[in-house]
Amino acid sequence: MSELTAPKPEPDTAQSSLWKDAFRTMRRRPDVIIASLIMLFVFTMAAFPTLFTDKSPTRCIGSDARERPDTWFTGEHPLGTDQFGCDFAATLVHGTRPTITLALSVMIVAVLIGMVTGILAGYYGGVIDAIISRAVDVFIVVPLMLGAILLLSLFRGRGAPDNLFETVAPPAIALAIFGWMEFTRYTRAATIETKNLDYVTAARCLGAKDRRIMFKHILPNAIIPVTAVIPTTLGSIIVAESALAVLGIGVQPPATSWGVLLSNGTQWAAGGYIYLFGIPLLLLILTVFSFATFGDALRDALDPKLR
Amino acid sequence: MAVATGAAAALALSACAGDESDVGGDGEGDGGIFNMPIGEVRSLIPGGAGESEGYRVIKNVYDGLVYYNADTGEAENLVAEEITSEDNQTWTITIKEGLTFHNGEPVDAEAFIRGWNRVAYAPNSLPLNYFMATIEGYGALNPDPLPEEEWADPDVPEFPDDVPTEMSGLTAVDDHTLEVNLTSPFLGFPTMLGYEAFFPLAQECLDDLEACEARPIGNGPFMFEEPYDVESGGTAVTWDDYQGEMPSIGGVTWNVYLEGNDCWADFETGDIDICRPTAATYESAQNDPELQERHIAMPDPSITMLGLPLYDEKFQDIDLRHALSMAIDREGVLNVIGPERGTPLDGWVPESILGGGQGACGEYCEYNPDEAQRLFDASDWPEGEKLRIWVNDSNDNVDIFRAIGDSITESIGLEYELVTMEWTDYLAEREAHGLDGPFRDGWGPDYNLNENYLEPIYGGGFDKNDNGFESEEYDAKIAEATAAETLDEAVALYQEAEAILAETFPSVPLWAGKINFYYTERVQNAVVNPIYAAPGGDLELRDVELTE
Repeated sequence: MSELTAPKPEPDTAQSSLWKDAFRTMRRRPDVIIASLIMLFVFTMAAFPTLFTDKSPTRCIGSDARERPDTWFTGEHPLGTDQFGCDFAATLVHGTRPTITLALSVMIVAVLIGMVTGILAGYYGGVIDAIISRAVDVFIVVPLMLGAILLLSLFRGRGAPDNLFETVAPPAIALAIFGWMEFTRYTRAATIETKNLDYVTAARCLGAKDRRIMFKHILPNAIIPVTAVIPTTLGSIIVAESALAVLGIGVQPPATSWGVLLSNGTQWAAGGYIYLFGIPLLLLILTVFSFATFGDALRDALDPKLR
Repeated sequence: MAVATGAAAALALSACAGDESDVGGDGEGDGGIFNMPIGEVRSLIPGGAGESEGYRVIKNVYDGLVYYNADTGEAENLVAEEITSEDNQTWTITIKEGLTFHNGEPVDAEAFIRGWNRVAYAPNSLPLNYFMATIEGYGALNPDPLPEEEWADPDVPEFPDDVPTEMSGLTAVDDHTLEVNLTSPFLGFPTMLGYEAFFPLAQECLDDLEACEARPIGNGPFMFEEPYDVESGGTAVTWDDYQGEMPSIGGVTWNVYLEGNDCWADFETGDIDICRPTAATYESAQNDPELQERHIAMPDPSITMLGLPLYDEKFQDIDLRHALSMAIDREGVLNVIGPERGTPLDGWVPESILGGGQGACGEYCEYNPDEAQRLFDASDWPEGEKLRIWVNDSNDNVDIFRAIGDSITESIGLEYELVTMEWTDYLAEREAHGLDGPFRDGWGPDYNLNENYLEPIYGGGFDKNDNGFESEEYDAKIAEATAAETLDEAVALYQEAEAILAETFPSVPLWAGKINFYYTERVQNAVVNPIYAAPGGDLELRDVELTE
């Protein structure tokens, strides 16, 4: 009797096991563990800066300016003070939030634009595909940095930002506008691949509407290649933000981000205050490294074809 | 003279400045071209600049009646043969014969009268207009303006049509004798004559001011062959027909540095011959033994102040003004911007000036956070309102005033916000009483007398000065000093006027500068004028020599 019983439908089995498999593979790699710890550290710093420092980054005492971090991680100023006499550790920790907020918001906007346009292009094809694909081509021709520089030049001379939103919005908008194309291409390719699969055809025969097919049936498949590139993209956004800040058009002082710190640090490194440049640089490199490593491992785990 | 603190690096402007800027030694004269930093120039016609950047060009392209000795700062006759007076009220100036402008026009009594009348004529709205106020007939050229509603441009005052154009106090006795009648005796009059406002003006210049602005027609040792560009600078070459002592160099190129750029990087590559290091590079420059041989360090009479807008209702409370001053840790701020950049001020006139160093500001210029807090708490500063500090964006002004703001916040908990503007916009806005908070106020002397730090900055009443400062007692004291018979007496009376400032506190004295210039290996005989060296790097172009 039992062999005649229809197999119990186990929805999502394939999918959840894919994620579970991926998790299991990644868990075994030491580089991924180190990368995850660094990411955890950075995200915690962004979310709860007061866990790491009890000083305010805006409390700057001129007579304490440029104290080298002789005591290293202990004492009054664990990482010394910057040129204005602000506690450097506090500045660094509080500069993390704008950096991470900016990277995440750029990423979210870019993924949303990318997925929607990618699915539309892949699913409908024809004219819509032609328009979206040509738009992708156009934006891809303009390098991310060049586009962002051109766009941000328009925002020049704006007043000092008052809150986190005003601080990160201009560079975030600029980077998002020139950063969504990759996601469109991945999603479009995955959609084209998926839309002719039997289960999609079946859904269509059952009378499912386009929207339902796109977001219920195709999207869960298309999201996998996109997920794999997200960490790497986050890393490159952080680097791009720093580059913009060094050019003086990213996050505007007195607000801080790692890019602003690096930009200030470059002036001082030559004058013998290497820590003002070295510490933010080290933090940046570590973070980008961990995003890249994590992203790499995630792609390996999710996409067996690449293995 | 308002000081820009201009000029400082990274923009490779030499590329935009045309061929002249990359010359090493192929200039006109034998001596090579000297490369100098400069900020944004307001005007190149005498009487139109009134700030350090225009003046550093004008003083080399024009010759005045007197020139300030590069060692002592004392006025010595240059174009003038003799300046005499029996009563300090009627002055007879004889002019050397045979001098001409670059275009061949004679430099005679008429040339001076022409220039002075242009400066004094109110409808020209020139920044140095007030320098002529001591001359008889100035009042007629400066009537009350028409009611503000009748002005076409709300920023440009308009006057009745019948304003005379010539001051009655100026007479050309003959071609080379100029007689000047003052409204009251003024002993210091000859000392003023080396300043830009009193330079001669060619008729051709007056006929076409626009052309003259781009290519000044001067009578000095340097002349422009190509027009000067405000954004990219320009080159002036030695004038072959100059009658005075010929400069040794072949010419000078002014390279423009704006918006916080500074000259240090260009100095290190040898593209700029003189420069002041920024705060960031200061220490390494100081520790470089090779650079020490090419270092000029000396006191600079230029002072930096935090001007207070007495025209704004928030700043009416004298206790608040004192609180702001006592809240600033001057030593600490200097530590941020480079400890050797200045000496904290305890008065409105620096020590290196005749009659200065009186300590008139006293306890109000000492860092005293507790007292500052007490005074601030007692004042009626609007709750939660930020202090808006206005600053022009040249050089590292923004950093300097951030350090000042930080110090105020640290001492009395008053949050601040920096508002930055371009130099010439900033000057205009400041003069029009458009700033609603404390503002950067720099002053470099025009001549060596404490009067120059008192009358031009705070004199003239509410409308004339940037602070909206008005005090009958002060004006009376200044008038009394101006009429004094001997210099000593005048200096003492001006000191009394300075003491009145401490009670009304129109500005917060911060520090007097220290010159720290470095020059390149090819520079010889580097002399910095003790009275006015422009910020960012300046040498006496009449004395400097270049080796190739």
